[in-house]
Amino acid sequence: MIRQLTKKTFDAMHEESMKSPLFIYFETPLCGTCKMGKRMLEIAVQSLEQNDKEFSVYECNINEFPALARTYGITSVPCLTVLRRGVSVKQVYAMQSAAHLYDLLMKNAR
Amino acid sequence: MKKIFSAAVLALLLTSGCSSGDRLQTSGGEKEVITKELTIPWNVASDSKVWWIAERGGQIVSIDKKTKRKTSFTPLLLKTLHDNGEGGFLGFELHPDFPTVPKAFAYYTYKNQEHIYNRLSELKLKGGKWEETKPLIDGIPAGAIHNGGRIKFGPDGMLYAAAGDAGVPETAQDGSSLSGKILRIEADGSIPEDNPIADSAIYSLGHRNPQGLTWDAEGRMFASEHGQNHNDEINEILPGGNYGWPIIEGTESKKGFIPPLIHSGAETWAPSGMIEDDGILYVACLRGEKILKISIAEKDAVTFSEGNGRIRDILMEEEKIYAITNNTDGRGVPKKGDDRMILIRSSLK
Repeated sequence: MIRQLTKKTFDAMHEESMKSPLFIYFETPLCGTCKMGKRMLEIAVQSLEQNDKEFSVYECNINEFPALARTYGITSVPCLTVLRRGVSVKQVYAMQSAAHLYDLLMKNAR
Repeated sequence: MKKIFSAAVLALLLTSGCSSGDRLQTSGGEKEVITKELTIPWNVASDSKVWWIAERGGQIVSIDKKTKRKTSFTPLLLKTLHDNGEGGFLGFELHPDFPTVPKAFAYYTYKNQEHIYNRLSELKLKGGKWEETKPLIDGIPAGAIHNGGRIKFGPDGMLYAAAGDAGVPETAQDGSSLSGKILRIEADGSIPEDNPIADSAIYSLGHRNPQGLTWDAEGRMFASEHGQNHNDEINEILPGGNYGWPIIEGTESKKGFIPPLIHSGAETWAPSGMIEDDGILYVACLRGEKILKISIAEKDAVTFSEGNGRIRDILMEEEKIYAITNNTDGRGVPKKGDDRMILIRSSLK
């Protein structure tokens, strides 16, 4: 399941990243590529859950967190970031395919 | 020869440089109060025109070197500063190309939900305001005590940070925790390829509460560290080195752990900021209320300067040595004008 990142859930998400890496998908509402990318991400996350692998994945409308783009080093949307101990350690801009995202989540979840 | 000459000059100054009745009495050269009425100053950094002092309560104070004019900045932080106990706005280091590159780095304590952390972040000076742009290392465990906090660029261009054990000694030996460690990153936050542990910012481990970092002309790195019940240490830091806390300290030794270059034994130094000059380490001491002069080769420590109370940090530029006092931090006895930045040594002559 992909959870919505809001101002209310931000601190809890930050805290969660201190214990294990998590993923944030940044998008904007009117971005077509973002919608395609999110569909791929949903398929990847569902496949992982079916295999009993639980990763924390958030989606975030960057318009609601304009300062986060600089804090997490995001230059465009869509962007999937890996947040480890409060720091954005990886930014992925080309979603490519659900299979690609599946591998990416698996590889960076540790 | 140069070393022998310098040592001789310093020895002469130690014996002849004092005059009675001088509140800023030190061991060498003329003395001067650069600025006063600082509030818990923790770190002093310098560019060609300005001294930059970080105060634990979250202020950055700039002092014009020519006019001595003081200006206060409240940096806009991404997280709310948590300046309880020994935590707060601690280390502050300018970008090596400042002010051409208007960036600096800060190590500060904050609270997130029920947990407190330290983070090392990049700051930017824009339109006369300092603001935090991004954390480079986050999730460094914090506590009411032992937050470490000193950050310095090494001669290799890497940014080093001293992290304390946050009051949980065993974490200093835990390779998965950032507490009780000296950390090393690139200025952009990435992990250097030649760090001793792959994909980790950890450079050395087994530290209790390191608060001073410096390097000599040969690139050897030294750190000061508060011991438990005395046994304060000055260590030569080697990549991947384990300095033993909490398994050994002071005179104790055990295979696999690096003993200190020198320790305080039964005396308390409470060492903080430090600098190196010509084979000599000058160490700011809090509880010890002095500046120590330690010969690296001889491994001996003598008092270089005292009478100004607690000293938190020390800076050398050209031949001048400056220090910041720390008498307003709740553990000292503030005198009128405290805390102050003072000139301790005006020159070697």
